[in-house]
This record gives sequence, C-alpha cells and structure tokens, in this order.
Amino acid sequence: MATSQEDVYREKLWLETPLIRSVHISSLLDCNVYLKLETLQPSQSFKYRGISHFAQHALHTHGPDVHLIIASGGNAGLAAAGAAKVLKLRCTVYLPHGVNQSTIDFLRKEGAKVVIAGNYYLQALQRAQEAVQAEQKAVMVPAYDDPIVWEGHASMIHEIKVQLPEGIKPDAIFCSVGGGGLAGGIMEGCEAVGWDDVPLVTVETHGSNCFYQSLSLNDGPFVGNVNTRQVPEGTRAERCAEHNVTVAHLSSLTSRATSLGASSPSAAIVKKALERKGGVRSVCISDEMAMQAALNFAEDHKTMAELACAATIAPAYKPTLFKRVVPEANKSANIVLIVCGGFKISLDDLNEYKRIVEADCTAGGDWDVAYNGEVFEVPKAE
Amino acid sequence: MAGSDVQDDLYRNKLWLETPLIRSVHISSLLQCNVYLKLETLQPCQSFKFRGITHFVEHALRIHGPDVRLIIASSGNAGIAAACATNILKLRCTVYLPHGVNRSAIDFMRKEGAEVVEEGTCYPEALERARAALQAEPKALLIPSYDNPILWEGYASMVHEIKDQLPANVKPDAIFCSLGGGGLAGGVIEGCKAVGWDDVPLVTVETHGSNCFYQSLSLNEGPFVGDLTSRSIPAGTRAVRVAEHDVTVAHLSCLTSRATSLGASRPSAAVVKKALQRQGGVRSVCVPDEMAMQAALNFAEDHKMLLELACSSTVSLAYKRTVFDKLVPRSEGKGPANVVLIICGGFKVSLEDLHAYKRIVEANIAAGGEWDVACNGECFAVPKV
Repeated sequence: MATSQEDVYREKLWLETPLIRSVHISSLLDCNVYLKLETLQPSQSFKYRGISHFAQHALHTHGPDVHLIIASGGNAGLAAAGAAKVLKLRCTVYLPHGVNQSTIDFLRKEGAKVVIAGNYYLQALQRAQEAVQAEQKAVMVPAYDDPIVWEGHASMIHEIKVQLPEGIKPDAIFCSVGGGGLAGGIMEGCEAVGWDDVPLVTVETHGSNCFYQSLSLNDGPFVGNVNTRQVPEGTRAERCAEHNVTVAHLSSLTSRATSLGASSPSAAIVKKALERKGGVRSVCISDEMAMQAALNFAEDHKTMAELACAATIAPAYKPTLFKRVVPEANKSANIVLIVCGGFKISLDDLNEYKRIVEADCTAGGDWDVAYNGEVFEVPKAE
Repeated sequence: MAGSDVQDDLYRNKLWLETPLIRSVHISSLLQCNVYLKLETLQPCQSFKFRGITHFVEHALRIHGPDVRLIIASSGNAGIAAACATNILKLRCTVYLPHGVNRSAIDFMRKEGAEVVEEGTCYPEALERARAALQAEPKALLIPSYDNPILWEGYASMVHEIKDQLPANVKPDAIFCSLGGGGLAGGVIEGCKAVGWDDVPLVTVETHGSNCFYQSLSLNEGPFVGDLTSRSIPAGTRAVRVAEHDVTVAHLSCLTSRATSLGASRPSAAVVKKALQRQGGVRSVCVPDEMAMQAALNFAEDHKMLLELACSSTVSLAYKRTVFDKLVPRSEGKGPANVVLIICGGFKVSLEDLHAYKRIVEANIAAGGEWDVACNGECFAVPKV
C-alpha cells in the first residue's frame, strides 16, 4: 500500500500540508478536531493536488509541447496555471466576465494566458472546448470529473493517516462538495488506506447543492422512500447508465459560495458515495451560516476561508448540528476537517459577511440545515 | 552532516511543528526574486514562541521534575506559548498579564489549562507580580521572555528546517525577522552559525515607536553609518554599559508603537553583541506603524492570513521595492535573489483591527508625504503608495 503511494506520487508537485489540532474548535466540541490546511498549497487550494497530478500526466503522455486549457471561475484555473508554470507548459485559462481582478492578476503572475469569454461559466467552458478542438496539442484540464484528478486529491488522505497520532482512525472526515472532485479523492484515498468505513460528511450550501439533490434521487442514506421524494423545481433528474445512478441537474445556483458552483455532480462520485462502507452524511447549510463560520475561523485561526471552504467548518462551530451529524462522537473522538482553501475571499468580503450575519441574527429565527433528507433548525447564535 | 546530528540530538523530543516554507508567488513577482515565507503562524500557539518556550519548559521538566510550576509574565503570545507547552507536558502554569489584554488571548490560555492572573496596568507590573510569585514558591520557575540561551536554541531550530526546505544548496541572500527583545534574532543568528550561514545577511525589523535594538546598535561600533561619538541618544533613552557582554544597550523609557508584541524597553545584550560580531552583519531597520499596517492588509489579500503588526512589519519591507532593493542589492549576472521572511505569527490581530488599519492607512496616505524608514543610522523616504 505504501509502495503504491510512493510510485503514484513520486514526482508530486504539491505540498504535504500540516494537519493541525485546533485548540479552539476542539475545546468548543469537546473532542479532537484536526484541520488539514490545503490553503497552503502553491495555488492556495486543494485543487493543486489533483490538477498538478493531471498536468504531469499530460506532460508524460503528450510531451512538453502540450497546451493545458481550462475553464474556471478561479481556483481550478489558479491550480492549472501554477502547475503549468512549474512544469514549463503553456496554459490558457478561460474565465467568464466578472472574475475578480486579483484572481486574474494571480493567474498572470503564474504565466498563464487569460481569456475572458462569456458571461457565465458554461460559455467560458464552450470557448475552452472550441480551443481544444482547434489545436492538436491542446488538452482540456477537467474541473472535477476525472479519476486522475481524484487520484491527486486522494494523496491528502495518505498524509492524514501518517500525520494523525499512530493508529488513530478518524471518527469522521468533513469536506465541501462542488462537483464532487474533492469528495471523490477523499473516498478513494480512504479506500486505499483501509478507511472505507470512516464516515464522510459532505457539506454544500442550500443554493448550490447538486450532490445532496443527487443522493436524494437514489436509494441510499436519505430518509424515506426514494419514490416519494420530490424533485425540487428547477432540477432535472437524469439517469446515468454508465454508473447506474441518477444525478440531479440544477438549472440555477443561487449561493454566494460560488466555488461550489456545479450544476451537476460527477455521477461516478455519487455512486461511490452510495456504495462506500462508511456511508455519506450529506449536509446543506445556509450561506449565512458559512459566513458566520468564516468570521469565527478568521478570529480563531487568523486564516481567511472563502465561503465554499468555511461551509465545511460551519458544522464544527455549531455543537447542536455537529451532535446531530456525528452523534457517536465522544470526548476522545478524532474529527478531520478538510480546510480546502481558495483565493476568492477578501477583507471587504468578510466585512460584508459580518453585516449580513448581524442583520440575519437580528431578524431572529433559526437557520435550516438539511441532512440526508431531513431538515432541522440550528440556533443562529451558538 | 554534523549539523543534522546536532539537530537530531538537540531537538529529538521537540514539540513544535516543522512549519512549511512556502515561496510567495505574489511577493516574488513584486520583487522579481524568490521570496520564501517561514510560516510560524502554524505553531500550536500560533507564533514562533512555541519553539523556544517548549524547549525551555522541557528543559525545566528534566531538571526540576513534574512538580515544577512554570510562571510567565506576558502581554500575549509568550503566555499562550507557555500555556500550550505546559498543557502538553502536564505541568502547572500561571500567566501574569497586565489588565487590558485581549479577551480572546486570555481564553486561549485558559483553553490550554493555564491559570491566568490579570494584575497591574503594564507589563513591568505584571513581571513584578510574577517575580513575587516565584519567591513565594520553591517549585516555581520563571520562563524568560527573550534573554536566555535555551530560548534561542529552540528558535534556532527554524533555521535548520529552512536549510533543508530550500532547494538544494541554496543559501539565502538575506533573512528578515522582527525584533522585540531579540529572542527570535538570537535564535536565527545561532541557527545560521550552526548550519554554516554565519555570513548570511540578517535584516531585523522594528517599528519607530519600539526600537530598542536599533538604538542599541547605534550605541556601539558597528554597522551604523558615521562616527560613534557623534551619534545622538534620543530623549527618553538611557545608554547602559553591560560589562558581561562588552556592549552598550539602550533602555527606552517609553514605547509608543501599536505593534505591542515588539514591546521591549531593552534588548538582550548578548544578542546585540552577537549581531555586531557575526560575519553576515545586521541591517537594522525601523518602519512606521502605518507601513506595517499597510503590509498586514496586503498580506491578508495575497495570502489570506491575518498577521499582527509585530509580524507584518517584517513583511512591510518586501512590499516596498525601493526599500527592499536597498537591503538586498541585486548582483549583476547572478540569478534572482533568494530571501527568507520569518512570518513569526501572533494571536493579537482581529478582523476589526485590520478594518481600523485600513482607515488609518487611507487617512495617512490622504495626508500626503512619504514614510520614513531607518536603516543602520540612515533615514530615507519611501512612497506610501
């Protein structure tokens, strides 16, 4: 097992990131909470693992003339640009209008060519696909639905196994889900190290929850009968024969956690989640809860986490929610939160989140959390 | 190699984290050289102090046994480090703080199981209380703030790590670090010596309102420009000859900087001496608080990390190309310079602080003019924007 890790990751470009025990969150939840700090990757998010792995694969397969092309709203593009720079490959990133100037600057600092195309991600993707068609040496870097990308992401589990105190197996691993690439890597990594039975808690936001909705469309961990579950307005259910699973296609995404923004998840990943021994606990939270977590995390750990990343941390800042999702956790439980990182956060954003959360708390009421088909309320101030 | 043997023995039971050394794309691009960040923010207590203080506490445990009670006077980060270290080693710990220390820092110490005593209005009063407690209990030991070889030995470990972490055979063209009392600098100087880097230039950074080290260097023959006898001593500073180390140090009567974690009224005489004697020399720099604030804001946007002022003052030099180029001159024909910034960390920064810094810097810029930066006795102007 160790041998295959050595072979597959021998030429890795990513950083073996620290796994730190959070005193603050451990104290709050009265158990051991570890943070895997993917913020420290060269492109400042976990995407660097899977995408640099893919880039190296492309170099080996197509040679140094290969032209890496990617359509991205930010973090994937940064990862591709960073990897391409190290490997001395050409890289072009297609972005829709409206992407932050600092992200564009970062892409250019890494030597990537930036093409701003279209008003929406899908339009940028279309232009990217056309560019790949037009050039023989061009290769499309996938956003999340590719086994090579998952293989790169899986490396973090191998690291976590070595970094936890000896013999310790996590009682749960938490991660954010956009299209499912990270979750896919985690599930494969768990399988590889003998952790297939470790519970996986996936976190999305209500306004960007294609994975949660997909699980709902299949027999699995969701409560009740799959035939009686309703498909929300704006969602189309699609049967994927290749993976024998149904996935949800969302017609619109309304969350501010735009890095989660996938209208449909990887069908293969949905299938993996349904089949794994440790199961999947699929959670959806409000944007405001993610904002509150980002604020708390900034004060506790002096690290700015974008909303897609803070979403994972949010359940850990809500003891009532945490106890619902990991009821078996006791004082000696060991929980791992994948702090996936991301460049799309600024001091102005956090300032705005503060105002939004304060207004929302003043308005009263509770926040809704969805968990494997059930909805319950969580106090806004806890 | 001998260096790593020493490192293996000395640091065998180390509690601190081998922190990442990351190349900053943003700052490297700005300066057109390779700028590496040693991220001490990731230590369990969130600052570099963890290295020296755990090393000291472990030493105390070995010498005095598990009944020893550790006492420390601190205005924040050292207290947190002591609380974390003693929690791991299951030792009793009492932290004496002056009133006014941030609630979240106190909570952090208590989460780590330390007893926290808030007394007095300033650090010297807290220190007095700590010393009184020391007298009262035979099994008590005072953790020093910065002037102790065991602390420096702990801090030196980061240089051993940096040597392993840089690309093979790369020797830094300069190492930058913040300086309060000189503990970190002492560790960096000793670490450099241990790994064959005694000739690596060291840039120490303070703020104008908290610059006891800079003033001390000024009182001795050394790297400062001009003749020693013609240098004036600022009002409020007393020059004190320390015979043991054959060096003169400055005692400041008051500190006015907002970078309170630098707050030492006098530096370690031994470290001043080391700085004067080392082959690579020392480039002692002072920056205004506002420049450190601006750097904290820039670093937050670039690296998504919040740095307190004592830490961002080091980074501020890298965000000003004109200053940086004076400190690390380019060599013709050589490749890009390789520079290491010690990101020393610290818990004393909040989102609200950064918001305040933004307003302060904007107002300061609107007022026009430039910022004064002092380096080894010379002063020069740096554009604010």
